[in-house]
Amino acid sequence: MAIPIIQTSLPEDLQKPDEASLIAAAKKDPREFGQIYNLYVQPIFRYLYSRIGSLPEAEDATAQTFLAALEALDRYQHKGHLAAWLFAIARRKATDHFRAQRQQVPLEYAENVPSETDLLKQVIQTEQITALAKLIAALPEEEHELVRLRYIAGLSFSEIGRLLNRTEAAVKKLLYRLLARLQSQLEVPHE
Amino acid sequence: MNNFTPFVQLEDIIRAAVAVPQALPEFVDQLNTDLMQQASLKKRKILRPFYLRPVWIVLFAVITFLVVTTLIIGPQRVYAAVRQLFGYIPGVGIVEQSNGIRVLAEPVSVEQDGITVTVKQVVADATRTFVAYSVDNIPSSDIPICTIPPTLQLPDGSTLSFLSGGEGGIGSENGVPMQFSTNYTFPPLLANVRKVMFLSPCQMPAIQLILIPAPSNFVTPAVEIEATSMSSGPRFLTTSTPAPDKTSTSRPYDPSAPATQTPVPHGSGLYLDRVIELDNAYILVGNFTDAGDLPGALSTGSLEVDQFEHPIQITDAAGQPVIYKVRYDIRPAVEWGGVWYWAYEISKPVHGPLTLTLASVPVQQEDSNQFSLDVGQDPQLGQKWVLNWAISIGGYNFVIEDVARAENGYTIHYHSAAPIPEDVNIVLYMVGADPTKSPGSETRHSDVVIYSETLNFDDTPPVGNLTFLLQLNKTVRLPGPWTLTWSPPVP
Repeated sequence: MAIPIIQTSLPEDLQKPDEASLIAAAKKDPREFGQIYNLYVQPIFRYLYSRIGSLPEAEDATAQTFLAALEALDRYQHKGHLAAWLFAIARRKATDHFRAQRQQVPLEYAENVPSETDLLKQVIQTEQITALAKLIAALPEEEHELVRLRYIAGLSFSEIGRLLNRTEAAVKKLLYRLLARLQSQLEVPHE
Repeated sequence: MNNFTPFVQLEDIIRAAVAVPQALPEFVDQLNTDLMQQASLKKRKILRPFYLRPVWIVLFAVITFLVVTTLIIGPQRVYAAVRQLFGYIPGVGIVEQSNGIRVLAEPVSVEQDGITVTVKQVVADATRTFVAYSVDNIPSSDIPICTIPPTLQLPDGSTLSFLSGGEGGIGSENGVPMQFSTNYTFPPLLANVRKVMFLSPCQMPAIQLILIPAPSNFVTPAVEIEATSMSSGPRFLTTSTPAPDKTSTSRPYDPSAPATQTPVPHGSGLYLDRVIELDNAYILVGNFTDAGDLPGALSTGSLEVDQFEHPIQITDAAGQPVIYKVRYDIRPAVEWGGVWYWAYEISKPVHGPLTLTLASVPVQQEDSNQFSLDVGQDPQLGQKWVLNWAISIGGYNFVIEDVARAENGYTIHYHSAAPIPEDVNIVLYMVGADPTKSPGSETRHSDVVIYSETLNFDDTPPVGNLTFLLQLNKTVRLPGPWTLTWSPPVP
């Protein structure tokens, strides 16, 4: 039997860096862009890797993303959505990549590179992970993207909403419906 | 069964199922180095002017209801010589052919210590000299790379400095030396000049550039035709705010940039500056100008970034969308405050009239308040002035909690009495000073947001009576639509 659903969300960062100051500093002196880069290089890379599935090509797309962001920084008007802006650029770079390659690598086919969550994988039953990976790989692209943005890139609902041109509430609703469906398909054992 | 089991367990499994590796540290470091090189190049770009003017949020909320639509009729700009012959070179832009075009016969390179400088293209017309070049095989030992712009030396020994340019990308792969390519625009060469020296920056050998007349098929024929259009847009019944300052902007730095600010006889709106006809397409070049009658300063930078695409929609006589290309090589460089330029190429045949529609524009709202504090002539590190002063900005109430002397400046703690929307930016200034800011913190609770900011100074921080200014700004979409209708010439 599937577990009844109680809607929860990941804890949002209560204390985010003052992105407005970082952006203002980077506009004044582009070399300060490094602080923004340090904040976002890993989420952007993970997102692009999950879409592209190749380490060198994900690195290339990551580099293109940040170079484009640096070039466009003067035109960026900060309204509290730096992550959405950066990920919009990253999505365009991924799209450019697939235009050239004409293929898209599902998450489950990503190269098997040891990750931080290997330990977690060992703890949680492998069958569940495998089953869920297959379910996620079979999702429509829109839901697939939602999974990437939330669980790989680690974006907040607000940031995802900005990126996908939806309200935060709409994103939550979409995700919770998806989770409910996955959970019912997975038949997650519970205590 | 636990009825309160949330999605947390499932989300953990999802994270495990979709886990991907972190970026490798060597890649992160290499890209950081590349970005810093790019940033060094970017830093020396010409600063563009901007202007700001106070706009009161409450006032804005009222005046947006008072909108009327007017019809304005062009042309905004009539050329003395309509159907003037031009030429178009993709990547270079429009060239003026009255004195002929001179070009570099083929790329020319010099190499020193493994570094290669290649001048790839030179296009000289009566208005400017365009030079594209690249630097290859820059070893990592030369980081940070030299970013001094090149100059052109004329036969009489005089030199020309660049007018604009310098944008471009730095390329590298892990372990592979760096490369970058860019282009610059210089003043025009005299008609009889056939040789110039490209003085490579950074102690590289000079390169002699021998120019030849452009081959007959080098330039795509282009004709400038009359730019007649009809425009409409809302009018905002508000106390006129100052128009963008026409005299304080910097000089035009490129012949492609308008020498004067666009005339705005009909107030803020879409203006068609010129129409260039190619064999297979039309290129419309125009702008949206903030004439000072909008309830907020036009945020030109947000026009394209906000919607992640170009904001103007073009439809044909049947109302069907028209596909267009953005011509960045023709679009004037943004030079005048409050003006956003665009250049679109539309393939023939064109089923006119075409209607260009700008649904909304981003405008900047601001409000600010200031407070003063006398810290004496010898404030000590760690000394704190507890204030708890209440101030109101843009309808939001803040409490300035305290100011403390930090190592290189002052740290200010303040909080809002109510949540501030995420799209409202809060900026703290010190009046009459130009401190740098450390990354501050912003802690959001359900009913209060606590801020901490430190203003640092390279030299000794100011003492005595200090005045701080807290500013709230927000970019909002001002609804239009603004439209511009243009009809292609009848064959």
